[in-house]
Amino acid sequence: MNDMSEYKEMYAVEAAEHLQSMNDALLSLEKDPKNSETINVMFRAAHTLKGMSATMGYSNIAELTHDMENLMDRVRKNEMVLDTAAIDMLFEVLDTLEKMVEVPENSSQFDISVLVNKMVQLSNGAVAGSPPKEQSPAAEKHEEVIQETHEETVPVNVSDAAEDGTQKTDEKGCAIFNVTVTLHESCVLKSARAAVALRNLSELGDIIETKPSLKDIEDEKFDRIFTVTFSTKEDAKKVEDAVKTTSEVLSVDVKPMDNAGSESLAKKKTEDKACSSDAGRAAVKNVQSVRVGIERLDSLMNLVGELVINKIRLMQIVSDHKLDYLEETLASLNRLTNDLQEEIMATRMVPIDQIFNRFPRMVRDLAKKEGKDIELILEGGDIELDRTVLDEVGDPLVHILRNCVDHGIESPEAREKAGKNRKGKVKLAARREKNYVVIEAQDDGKGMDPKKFRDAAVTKGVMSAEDIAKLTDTEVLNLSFLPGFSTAEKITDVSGRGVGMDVVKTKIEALGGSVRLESKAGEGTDITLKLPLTVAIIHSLMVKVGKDVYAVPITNVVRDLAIKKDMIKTIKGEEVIMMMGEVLPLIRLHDIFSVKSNGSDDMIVVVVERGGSNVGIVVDHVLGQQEVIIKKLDNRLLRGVKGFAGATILGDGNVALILDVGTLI
Amino acid sequence: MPGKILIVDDAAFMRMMLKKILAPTGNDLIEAVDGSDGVSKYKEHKPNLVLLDIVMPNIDGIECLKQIISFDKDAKVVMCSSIGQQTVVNDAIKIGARDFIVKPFDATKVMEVVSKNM
Repeated sequence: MNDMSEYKEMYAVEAAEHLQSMNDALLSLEKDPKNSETINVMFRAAHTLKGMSATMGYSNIAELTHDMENLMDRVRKNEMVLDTAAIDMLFEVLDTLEKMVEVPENSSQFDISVLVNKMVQLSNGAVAGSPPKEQSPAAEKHEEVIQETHEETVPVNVSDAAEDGTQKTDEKGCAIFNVTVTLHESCVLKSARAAVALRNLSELGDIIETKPSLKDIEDEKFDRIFTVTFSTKEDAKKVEDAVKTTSEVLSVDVKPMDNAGSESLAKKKTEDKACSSDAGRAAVKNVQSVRVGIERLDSLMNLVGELVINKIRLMQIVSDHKLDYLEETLASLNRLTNDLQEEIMATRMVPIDQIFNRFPRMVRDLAKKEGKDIELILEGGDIELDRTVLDEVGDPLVHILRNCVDHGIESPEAREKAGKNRKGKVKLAARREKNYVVIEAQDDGKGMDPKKFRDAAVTKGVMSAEDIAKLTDTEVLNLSFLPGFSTAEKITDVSGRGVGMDVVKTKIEALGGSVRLESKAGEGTDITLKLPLTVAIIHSLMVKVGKDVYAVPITNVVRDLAIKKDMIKTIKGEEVIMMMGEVLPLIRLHDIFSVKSNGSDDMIVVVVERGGSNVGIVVDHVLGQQEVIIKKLDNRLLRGVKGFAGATILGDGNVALILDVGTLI
Repeated sequence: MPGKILIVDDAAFMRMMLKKILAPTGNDLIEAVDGSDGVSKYKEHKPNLVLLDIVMPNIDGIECLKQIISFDKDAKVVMCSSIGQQTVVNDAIKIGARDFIVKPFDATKVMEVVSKNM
């Protein structure tokens, strides 16, 4: 960029805007020094101005804004609080910046050392004893020295191993390469650049280990050179090209691993296994895991699903034709497929800690903001869930916890008045129950008042006063799962906008799980999420309507009933039956799917839970429980068609649709 | 063959800078003024490449990246970072960013990254 003059005007206008917004922000911070949004505004403005100024080459402005950004970053992370002196000083910096921006060409004439020192002192004082900042010139020099010595000692030798033909391949027919990557001198973010190079490599094969370790690369504990041991089906040229597509890479050296090297690698692996309990090896253990894209695991799961389907078909054929001589082989095939299926499912499992970890901080911050005293108890963080389930369950849990803090737990004063401990308790516990993981969120707050819900339902026109009187308290509380239903008296930025619990419910049910809410006014609320271990395979109740078989996810099923035709009554034109004093609406799948009903007097009803209340589905036969593998239906196929969650292939090769009870009529 | 490049940055100055650098490439240049605008512009134009700033109001670059990737897992996103944002860039690459460039922008490097990723 040779000629910057044409940008000057634009720079001046935008810089002035940013200074103005910083001024405004600082003013309001003076009154409310902890307002995180205002702190963020300051931080962003300083950051942007820094980038602009550096681009224009106004290094003095860039330096001042850089220190300001650092300072605000500390404030943002709650590592320090802006006191009056700090705010005064920042105003002083802003005034200086304003003067500099007026005639930025002359900004280099300003002496900013005093202000820089003040800011550095202030932000360093906040983290006494922390290592010197990476920007300090001394540290930079030190780093350069190290780099230079390394350049001399690490020879980037072009290997002759490629010619001797002893290219080592592993059991999968993959070649193993040692790839030495040297980054360009001008590369600033070395760790991030290395991450891009590693990502590009991992698209071609598997990274076995790196030198220095992945952890050290991530922490930028390396000079410009790192080596990757890499297993791939591609040839050396492709590997080299993959790395070369990374920017800022100076050179790449790909050399096939010789036998000795790979043996020692294999040996190292066994050694690692043998002493994996050794704490000192923890760092080495890192490189033993291979990152695999979730898509690859998905496709593995899919393949195993196909395998299982074919196995079931085979077993059916064997039993139909009484092929006794195949039984033994088939039994072991059965066992192997089951093992394979379990292994792959286990590979997809991740501990729930991965999402639990972020909650303590979140609850602490929210509680602080609301002036509440809350203890968060986490249990069962080691329980494992399928990756896909875990990804989907994070947001609902955040929402539930926010509700606990915002609406559940009372202020310390109110708690004291109610004879409770000033400190509120929120407990999040995960546990395994058969093929489910149950996550329970409990608080000992003020609970939910069914009366309030009844009133709200009537005023919002959700239900008539007459209808609402018929509902039990638990049913009434479950109204909170309806879209747009919120009884919060005031809207806070945390919750109470009337979106939320319905989203929680929809998300959990989409996963094949269920949500239950129980609450006692004055004592607290208890929300239980029941989640399947995996989304790929579900337990289903197989039912038959006409000639077709359908699968009903077992999580939805309450019970099944045999009834006589004359038990059906009609209320407002809707068919219902009475079940244990409860009115149960009926859905006739025959009508929905336009199948002729057999017209017999005996009918079978599968009772399913939907939106907190029960519905009866009339079917012809109940065939029993079965594990089914979900095959996603193409969205284009199901456009506008509700009521199906997917399809599955049965043992006889026929396709059965999986009913989505939530959206069925 | 010319394609589309989406530039997401809250600073008009930075967008203009990038546009100036990228003009000779003959690509269609689309601008977005913050993270949420970036997501909607991405969905609207389906650009071949996105240059994405990290520090922005409304939703920041990381969140914007997440939303773009979840909309199109093959999206080619290049992060625009400053020195000292190493961890954020590392995170971005884990999420699926293809590459990054460091401010202040050097025209040659920007061109290199763009040509390698398009």
